[in-house]
Amino acid sequence: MKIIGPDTLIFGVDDIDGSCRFLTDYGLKRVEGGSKGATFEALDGTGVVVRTAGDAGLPAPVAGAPNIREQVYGVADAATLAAIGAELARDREVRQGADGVLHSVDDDGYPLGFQVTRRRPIGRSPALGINTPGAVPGRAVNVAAARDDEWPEPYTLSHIVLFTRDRVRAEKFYAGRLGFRTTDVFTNVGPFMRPAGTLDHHTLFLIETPVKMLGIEHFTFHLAGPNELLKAGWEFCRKGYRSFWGPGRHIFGSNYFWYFNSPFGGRIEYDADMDLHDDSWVARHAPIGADTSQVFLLQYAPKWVPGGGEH
Amino acid sequence: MRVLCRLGELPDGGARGFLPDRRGIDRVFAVRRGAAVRVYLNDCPHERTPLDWAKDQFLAHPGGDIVCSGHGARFDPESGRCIAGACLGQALVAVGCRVEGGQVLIAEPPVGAPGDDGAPSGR
Repeated sequence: MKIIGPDTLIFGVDDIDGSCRFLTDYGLKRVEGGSKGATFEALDGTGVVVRTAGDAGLPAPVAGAPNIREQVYGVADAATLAAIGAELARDREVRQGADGVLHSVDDDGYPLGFQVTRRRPIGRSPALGINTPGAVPGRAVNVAAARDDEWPEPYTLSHIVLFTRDRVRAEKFYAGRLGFRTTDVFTNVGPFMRPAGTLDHHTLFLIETPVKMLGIEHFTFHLAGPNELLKAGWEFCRKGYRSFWGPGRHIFGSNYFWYFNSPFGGRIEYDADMDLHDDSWVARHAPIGADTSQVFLLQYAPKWVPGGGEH
Repeated sequence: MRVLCRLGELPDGGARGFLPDRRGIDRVFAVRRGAAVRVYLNDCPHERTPLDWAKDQFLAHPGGDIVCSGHGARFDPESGRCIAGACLGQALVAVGCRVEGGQVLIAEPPVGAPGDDGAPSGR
């Protein structure tokens, strides 16, 4: 089942204006919108839809507003879409919208959508490379890499993290019914999973919690690389947004991370440089902890220069 | 007691953060409904981290509940009790306060205020 990853996350929120301003400042491009909500895209067309929590067109919520109201997965082709529809219809309602999107739910009740992916080619030249001693230079001679006027843009929707009532049951659903693979496991929390249509370490991570916490834990977009992550997070801090955790580098997935509070009922992250895995990968198992979740952790600080004026 | 602000500096139905640490995270926030003001530590009982997602963004909407922007826990502005979400049944730490002569006064220093090192107080 060639599910590629989430194309769109749909949120029901209390504060449309604040949520929209937040996503614009995060770096996403607003492509439509009005008083009832708006749609935001990364460079490849994946993105976020924001609607008022009371919008009758949204699937029923799993948690109180603000929170995730639907994850719309992009799949490779119409045959995959039909296969998903047939599989899920065995034990739950599946309906197809006028726009062709299949709608159903997972075992925690999170609304799921499936569509033939609407991702576009990213259409950007790669980020400037690194000059490593002894290796082929990563960028041409006389190219100065450091630029203060650079505004990193999110390239593509990376992953979503959800709270689940039962991690074993949830993993079984995503693996057995939708063809996801488990890449690594925090043994006291839950699995990192990737669908069959991507090599990304994870597009989904599940965290077992009491039912009162059901909802989104965080979501994130991939940036071009660690430099772009640091610059994006730096600018986001400077705009007054609240850094929660990072910048740092995770161990499972190797992705650089930087998390911020958000008006969506869970946090938002910038991530970059995630590992790729195929089916030969054997999942690692470790309990979550400060040492198992990150290689290093840094923290935002306002700009400063040594010398105090008299060098 | 110390002066936090003038009552008129708090929008009716709104919230505002005060006493920023070195990173600009406000250590306490005030919520106003009419003449009633409540002041709480900016410290969610769930993970002991700040509640706001940007300066002064503590409420679901003007006049609405206090919402933690970590995982969406909701708090009753009047009592500080968590009414939904991760820390259901727990409460924000209230800072003693009173309104006098058009000014909002708070206990000094706020007991148990998050530290000035920028780290979540619980970790």
